[in-house]
Amino acid sequence: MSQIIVNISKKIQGKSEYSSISASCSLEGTFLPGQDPGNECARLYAQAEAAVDRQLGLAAAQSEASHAPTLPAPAAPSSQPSSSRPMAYPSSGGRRAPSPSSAAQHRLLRMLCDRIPGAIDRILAEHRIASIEALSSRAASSIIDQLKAPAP
Amino acid sequence: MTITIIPPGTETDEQYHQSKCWGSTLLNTFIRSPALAHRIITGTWRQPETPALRFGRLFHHRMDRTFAFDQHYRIAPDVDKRTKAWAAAEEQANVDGVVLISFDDHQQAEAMRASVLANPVAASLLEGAQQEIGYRGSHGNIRVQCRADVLHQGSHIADLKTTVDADEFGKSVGSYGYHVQAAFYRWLISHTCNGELLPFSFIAVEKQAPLYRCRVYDLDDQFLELGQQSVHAALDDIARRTESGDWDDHQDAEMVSPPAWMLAQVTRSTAA
Repeated sequence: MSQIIVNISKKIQGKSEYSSISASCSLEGTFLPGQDPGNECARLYAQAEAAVDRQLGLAAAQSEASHAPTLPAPAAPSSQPSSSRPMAYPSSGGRRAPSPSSAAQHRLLRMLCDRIPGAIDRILAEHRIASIEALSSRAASSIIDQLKAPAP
Repeated sequence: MTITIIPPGTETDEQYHQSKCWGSTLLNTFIRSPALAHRIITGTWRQPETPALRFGRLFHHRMDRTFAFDQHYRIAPDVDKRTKAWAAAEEQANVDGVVLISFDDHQQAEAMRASVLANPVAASLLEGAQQEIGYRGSHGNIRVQCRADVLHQGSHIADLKTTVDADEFGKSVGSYGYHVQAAFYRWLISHTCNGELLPFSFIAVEKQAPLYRCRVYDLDDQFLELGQQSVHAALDDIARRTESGDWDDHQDAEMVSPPAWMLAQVTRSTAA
């Protein structure tokens, strides 16, 4: 068993002209022989970055800007969806923050992802977020459309 | 608070609305006019039935899977309401104890239903949900009730709304007090699920042809907080007025300010 430590820190402009806000995060993880350390590293970095972005109010803006996810192949149906409150997003840098995704979208996303093994993890990794609640409304819509599209 | 759950179909709309309980519509009326709300709850005034209210009820019934639509409604022949054929159909409907609906209203309700079901988020809210479940309880001396259009026990509440323009739903929230409704439903239903406030969504569908667009809206935390404050302030005020017997409306002179959306609209147009 080996250990991985990831550190990430970001600094953005504050509300007044010469101020700044910074946030950092350190995460520790382990991987077993046979596991891909690269994947584990990427997963931890995504989690750390999502936590930092959330702290700085950047999560929605990032997921908005990121490209469309690659979708997994459809598979067997499964469990009940769950839902939770959408997170509040402070606006950053004077620009209007993208509209956050809604609880109704989370519900459908979970229902669709339940039918596709690994779909949630892939969405989280591709959008560099810790949970689907951090998606913007538009990003969630786009993922829903793709998950609903028939497999090629 | 002890809550009584009213299963779907146990009470007619009429029975539900004449229960002398405070529901969200009446709370919103109270916020605007305590005097009018008092007349409604005491049964000394009945809100007049408008075509819009009738159609809203028809649409809700059409969306309710547990409602035996064909046993309650009959579609009229596609003729003018001034014709003998219409009069005969209406007379027969009265004899049979069913509601006669125009061909156009039926077509409109069907198109709206299809639009809701074609919206993936709306359809997922309806899938496997319980519909038209009532909740009734007492808050101090005040009896309160709500009826959820769509409910996933312990998980999600949704309400169907017909609207003229789905894109302008945000304005309707303030105009019709939908934030008060959402906060009230969440609060009342939370008593049946260990105090948890469930997510609440509005399924808004246009009444306008040809698209009958459907959108799903959740209110943000600020809107829900406003709603919650309004609900509790209204319930406290109702309790005070019940005790004092004073239901008069507030009659002071007040200043009127433009709403934020109007200021933004003017700012945009002057900047252009």
